[in-house]
Amino acid sequence: MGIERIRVDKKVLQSNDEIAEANRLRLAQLGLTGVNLIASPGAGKTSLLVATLRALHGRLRCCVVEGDLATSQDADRIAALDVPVWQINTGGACHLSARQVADAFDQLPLAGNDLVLIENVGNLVCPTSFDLGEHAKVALLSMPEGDDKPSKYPGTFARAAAVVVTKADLADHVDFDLDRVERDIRRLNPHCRILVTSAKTGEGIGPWCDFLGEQVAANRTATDRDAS
Amino acid sequence: MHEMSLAAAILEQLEELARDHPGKRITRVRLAWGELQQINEYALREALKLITEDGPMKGVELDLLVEPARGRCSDCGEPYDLVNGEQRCPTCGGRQVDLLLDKPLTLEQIELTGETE
Repeated sequence: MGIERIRVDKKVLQSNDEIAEANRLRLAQLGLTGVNLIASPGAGKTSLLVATLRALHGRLRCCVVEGDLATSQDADRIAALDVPVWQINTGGACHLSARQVADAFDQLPLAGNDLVLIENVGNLVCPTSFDLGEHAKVALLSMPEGDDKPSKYPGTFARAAAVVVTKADLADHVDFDLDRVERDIRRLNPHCRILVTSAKTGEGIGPWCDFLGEQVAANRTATDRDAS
Repeated sequence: MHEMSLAAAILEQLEELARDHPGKRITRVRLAWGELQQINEYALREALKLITEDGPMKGVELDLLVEPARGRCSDCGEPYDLVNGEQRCPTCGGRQVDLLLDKPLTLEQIELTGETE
């Protein structure tokens, strides 16, 4: 019996990518910008979000998608700020998929907002492979995690439009070489924005919010250009 | 461990291909991805083994290829392959690079035999 060889050349995550593309189109049609926040567990994603939402109040209208294995603790912190939020529980899966985010979009009052912030499951590896339909990926790196992370997880940091260094209030207590971090990120991602922040003291939250404002403005311009 | 999610997506595509070729069995599969995809070869192999164990693709042979990423030197503009994540431009020695291509996980090729068991 002969062997038949067939060339397939199909992306394994093709169906995820198609849903992600539909998510992106949906956001664009509503004038929304999507940002996908990726970081290890405990890097301070939710604390950064809380500080960000407070700072953006009256400036950009935001809604939030929260991703966790279990519990609605993060969504509760966001809801306390009167910001629309939808919690996805992945039940063990280590990343969000475009389908889950599409379902979350169905539940959120997207129209009338400027920015949807998607907090991915705490994990520096897996979320990078799954396009959610965001306009920008942002990686967080907390000072206590260590300055070696960009070189150890190059795929994540190479794809980030910005890296937010968090917990800068601990700078005096941990050995964190910011120059090394910047050097390692820029090797694979020369145009990456690097922002140093502390949700606790408010340090750097202003420039980070400016970055988000720029993303929204740039995305609007691109959408208007495509439409005309 | 997103390799299990990836294995499930691969199995879905293989089952679809098997349906398109009735009376045949997939015996060999070739997958490739760029080295910055953060996919662990061993974990993907184990996940695929586990997920095909109880079906017609049990024992399928796997060719897994990790390909270098391709970048363009930020200093001199020359494109080159990044082997083992190391960036040093072979033309000018520059250490910064704009990523041009890091192949997403791709089902490249399958082999089928005419017999069904």
